[in-house]
Amino acid sequence: MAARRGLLLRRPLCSMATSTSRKGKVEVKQVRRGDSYHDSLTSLIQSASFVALDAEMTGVASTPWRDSFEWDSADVRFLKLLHSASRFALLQFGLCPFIPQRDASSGVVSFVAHPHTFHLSPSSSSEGDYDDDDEFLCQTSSLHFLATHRHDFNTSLRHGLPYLSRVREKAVAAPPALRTESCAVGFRHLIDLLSSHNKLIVGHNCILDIAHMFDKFIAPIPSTMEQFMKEVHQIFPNIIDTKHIMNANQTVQLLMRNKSKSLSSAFSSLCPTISSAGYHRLVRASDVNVKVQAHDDEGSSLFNSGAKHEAGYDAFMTGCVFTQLCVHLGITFDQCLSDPSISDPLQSNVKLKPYLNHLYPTWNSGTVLDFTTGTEKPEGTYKQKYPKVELKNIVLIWGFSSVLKYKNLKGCIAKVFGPDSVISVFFIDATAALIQFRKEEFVKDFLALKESLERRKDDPISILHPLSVIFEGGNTKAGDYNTYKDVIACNQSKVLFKDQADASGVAC
Amino acid sequence: MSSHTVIKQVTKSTFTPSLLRELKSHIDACDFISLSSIKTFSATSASSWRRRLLPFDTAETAYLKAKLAAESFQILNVSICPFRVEGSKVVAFPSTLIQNQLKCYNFHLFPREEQSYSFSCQASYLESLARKGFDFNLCIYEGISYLSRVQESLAKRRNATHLDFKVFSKSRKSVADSLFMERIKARIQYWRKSCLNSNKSPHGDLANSLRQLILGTQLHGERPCMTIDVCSDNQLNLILETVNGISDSLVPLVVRNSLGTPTSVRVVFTSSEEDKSALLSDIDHAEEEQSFNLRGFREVMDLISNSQKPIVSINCLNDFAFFHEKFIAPLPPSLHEFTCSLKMVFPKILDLGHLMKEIGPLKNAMDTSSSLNLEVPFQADRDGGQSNQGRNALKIISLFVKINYLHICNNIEGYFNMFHPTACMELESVGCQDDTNTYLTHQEDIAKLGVHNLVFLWGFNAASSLQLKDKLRKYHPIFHENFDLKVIDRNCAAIAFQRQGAVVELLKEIKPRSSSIENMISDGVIIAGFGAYEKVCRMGLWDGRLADSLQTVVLSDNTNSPLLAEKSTEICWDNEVMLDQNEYLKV
Repeated sequence: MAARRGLLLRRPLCSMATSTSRKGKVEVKQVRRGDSYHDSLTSLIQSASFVALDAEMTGVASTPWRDSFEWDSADVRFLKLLHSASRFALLQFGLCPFIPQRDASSGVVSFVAHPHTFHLSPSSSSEGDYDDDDEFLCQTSSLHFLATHRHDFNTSLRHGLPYLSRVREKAVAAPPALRTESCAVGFRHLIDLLSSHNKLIVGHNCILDIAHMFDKFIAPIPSTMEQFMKEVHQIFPNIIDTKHIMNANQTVQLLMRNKSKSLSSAFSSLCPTISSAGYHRLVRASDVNVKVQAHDDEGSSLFNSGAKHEAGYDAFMTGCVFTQLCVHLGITFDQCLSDPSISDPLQSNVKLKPYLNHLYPTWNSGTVLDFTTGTEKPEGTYKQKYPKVELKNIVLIWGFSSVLKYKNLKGCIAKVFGPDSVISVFFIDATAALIQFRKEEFVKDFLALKESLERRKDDPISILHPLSVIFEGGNTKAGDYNTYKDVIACNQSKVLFKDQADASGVAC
Repeated sequence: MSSHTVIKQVTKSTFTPSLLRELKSHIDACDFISLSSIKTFSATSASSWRRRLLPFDTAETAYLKAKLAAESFQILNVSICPFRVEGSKVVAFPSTLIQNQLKCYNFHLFPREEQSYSFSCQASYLESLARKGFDFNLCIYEGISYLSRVQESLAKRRNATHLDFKVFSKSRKSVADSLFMERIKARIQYWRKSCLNSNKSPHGDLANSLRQLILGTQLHGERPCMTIDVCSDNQLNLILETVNGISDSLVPLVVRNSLGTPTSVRVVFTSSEEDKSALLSDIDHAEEEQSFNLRGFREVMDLISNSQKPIVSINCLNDFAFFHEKFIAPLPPSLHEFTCSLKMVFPKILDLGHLMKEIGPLKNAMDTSSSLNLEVPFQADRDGGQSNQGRNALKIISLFVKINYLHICNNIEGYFNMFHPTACMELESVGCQDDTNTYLTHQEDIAKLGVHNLVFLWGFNAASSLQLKDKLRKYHPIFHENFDLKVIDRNCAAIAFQRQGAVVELLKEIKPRSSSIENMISDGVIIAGFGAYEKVCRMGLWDGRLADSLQTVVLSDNTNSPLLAEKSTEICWDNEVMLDQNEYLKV
């Protein structure tokens, strides 16, 4: 054991608590239906400085036009988030409590991580009352993606824990004694535990994970972003998004320049000693020691070597990235141990405070979501990738001929409104486009012109009119940005935007 | 007997042209093909009114529900078993194989992103499949993809093949055209000359490679080729015309980008007439292989379609709505158009559900036959799981043979392409026990009624259907007559009157607000005829509760009609079906 410890001191970050685990592999506890985890995890969560989390879902966007676009307003982005979190299902939920400890020999504070992967079954336990709850969506490419990472779909469906939100739990008419027995409720109690201890929750690019967590374990997502943020904040008052820190902090920006900010690349660039523990590497003084606790007292549990896109392992990586980011922010972990009376040593740290409850939105819009105030506000430190979009100046057109391309679209509008009238055109898909005009009044003019051309369908003036290229075929429809929002808000999921717009029955 | 049946599990890796040839030989030798599928949903286990087939659904409304389902859900398995029947015996093919072996093919399917961007799943049904051992990993990891006929023709237009470009000889060429052609001609001729000489080059490899570098010669397989970029269809046309004018030994191949736009022409040099035909057949072969992979499982459907053999199945309306949507074309808006379109692809479909409805309950016949040992290929396999997947096609054969034996149908042709809309039960798709007898005897609880016997009722406040019946009796004397009542979802009920004409009498009093129903109306209870439900389905008002959708139709109706059914259609009112188990007790 002495020799082993010596080894650990030189390469402290590859340390494993059990001799059975292989180098560089992280043992992740697998929790399935019927497995006991509640008591052990409860005490782990209670003594953790923070809990990292991650979710794996059956998809993100039900149609190509439901992906995030740069021209999406905050409202539209929320509608897309709401649709995604309420229609897709969770397959795995990863929780990883990080428990502080003082290294006996060096006196430095390190962490012991306990990664857990919960396998979830999409089926809700309630029957009859919520008919549509029995259905969920899958995005074909997401399932193919999970398959390339060897995700076991059979485990989810055969042995996954069913989940039940607080609201539904109340709705299910079962005697209270029976309720606590249910594993669906059991898992939700862990979420309640996170909430009741005001635990610091850490995720990476986690707005969608939080939305899923809210929808699946708490209640249906409210209808506005403000209300959603307010309600999330009441339940989880301390959330950290590592993606936000990476984008907002100058030191980290400098450190990670030209590097991808995806979770796995952030993990390998910020925590090289953990991520490539199998190789000999110099340990930097700034590295935080993270050990993985793989044994457990219950004995019979199942462990897997963690792999990318397994929820428990992703939660582990997120937590490791967070500890390293703390070092770059100048945060030390001494208070995590020194004063046991402080229940929230990290979240009250002044250096972390500016980042607390600030979540990266789904698209880099130069804004950040502040859950403390329930507002979306400009974030000056984000590197703006795209010029600001004037929503008032936007026209939506759909149903045009499939040969209509950017060049002729811009060209024919320029003939009518002037050479610089169009700032840019964004094709939502092959059947719909958003046109951004230089001036707001062009929007009104364009829509009025369309109407008058349609009224005088067959007279030579309208046939020769430059805009007739756009309206050829008679199926082209148009509206302003609110029309776009109304189409997105419609519940249906037609593959082509044109069909969705027609089905949603918006005025045009 | 289990040694007589083999279920072959077919996945991406085992789906080959040779397997298709084997299946074709089996189909050619058979009289019937049994067909069954597993989807990401089951109409019988669904609870919501828009998914489930209800006892008052007509063929038309059942089709509209099947259409909605086929557009939302996905097919995971299709099992196919070609067979022949002689008396009570199922004979298998080809008979020269292992004696009387019946071979069933179970195809695992999973779409590509281009075919299906996203799809719905019914969680409770997937869970029940998983419990019985259904292997979802096999589907998602190894599933065969497919392309419908319509999708293929769209894709063909986008990805025209190498040789697929018609040359239009423009009678009048511009000066620019002629100059372009001259330049291209000179380039190709110079390159061709070097190709002809390269074999005789005295300077060896180094000089050859230098020449290749300078002339831009590349290799197409083992043959030399050169690439000429194109910017327009006109240029493409001119290049192809030029190449054809130089020598027969040059083969121009059109290279396209992902959008199907031609980007360049690859001119391949062939050394002889034989070499040229070898190249062309290689290209044909490669393209054939590519389109085989692209069409995927559709090849099997085409095989069945081309054979024109009768297909035997259960729940045909649902299954074939899926097949039409996924393998043929998007579903048309009405049942009539659907059956016409389907008939062109599958001319003979025998729906066992319809057949059983026509010949009536077989309970008595079953009792007398229980001692009979019918030689059907069904055999329970104890090992369960994956090897049992695809057993439904065998169960269908078993059911078909039993029906055939108990009730000799001389004129089977008369039953083709008729669908029985109410799938009151379904064979258990993964399980291995023989549940076909229960299916056979189930039919007797079904009363045949017409849609004119029905009204819909909502806006009431009652704790059970018994209580509701009591309330109704107080509202109007007509409710003292004999009627059956089913609660559909919490606050909506369907009422079936025994007496013809009762519905018309009742609805007559609604619109002018006769005093006899004043109490009912002031309580907020609303009644509408079957026409309201037909409209809900036709307009696609599927979201939310049925009562809300019916209300929308009633409010939008300005004809002041009582919303009677458009035409008299028979329905199968199953007295045993309970629709809402949570809220109501069966009376």
